[in-house]
Amino acid sequence: MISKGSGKRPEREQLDEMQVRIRDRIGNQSFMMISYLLLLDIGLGGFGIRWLPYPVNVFIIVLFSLGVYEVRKVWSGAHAGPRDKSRSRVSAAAAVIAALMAAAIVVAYARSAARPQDSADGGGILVFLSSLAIIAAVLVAGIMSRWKSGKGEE
Amino acid sequence: MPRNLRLKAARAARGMSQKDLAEAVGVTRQTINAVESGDYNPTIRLCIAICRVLGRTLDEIFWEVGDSDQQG
Repeated sequence: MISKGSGKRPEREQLDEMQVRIRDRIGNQSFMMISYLLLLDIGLGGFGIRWLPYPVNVFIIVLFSLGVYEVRKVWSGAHAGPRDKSRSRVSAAAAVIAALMAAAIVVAYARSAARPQDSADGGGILVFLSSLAIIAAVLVAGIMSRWKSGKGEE
Repeated sequence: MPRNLRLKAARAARGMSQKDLAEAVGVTRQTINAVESGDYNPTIRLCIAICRVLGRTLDEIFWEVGDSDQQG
């Protein structure tokens, strides 16, 4: 059975108070941006303007917003705590993730533009596989974090 | 917020850089810089931690004494 633990990150990885405030502000703004973009997409659809078929349009909007969130966090220095020795590695990893997100957006858009008749199925597969990859990455990161903090299986 | 010149002076009197003070307090150098330049309003916890490291009281570093001290 996995021990419950406090759920808190190790002290050395915790953000300081200003970083938490910056991260929360960026998160709120990103949430509003994704909401506005989705509403804008719905509005445009009402006028008959479909820039990309579903679900690729939603996928790109979500991925773009996530990318902006991650880039702004790194740019503001709110991605790793003051005692986290891996700050530079985290920055490099964030840059790689942002690049992958940008590449995924370009591929999705190009694929849909080239073959719109196939984009519904292809877009669905793309979203599904990307979601699996993100979930797997988050799970692995969480498991590794618990191992490092000594809170593993009893 | 006005710049906190007293914090800067207290830090300099101890021969500490912003990085040194940040490491001693447990925050980033950017946070200390933001507090000194008046861009960030620290919590009382951070204020106390800074005062402990610099060996000063809260009044000496963080109390606003009037308009004459508010220009950077």
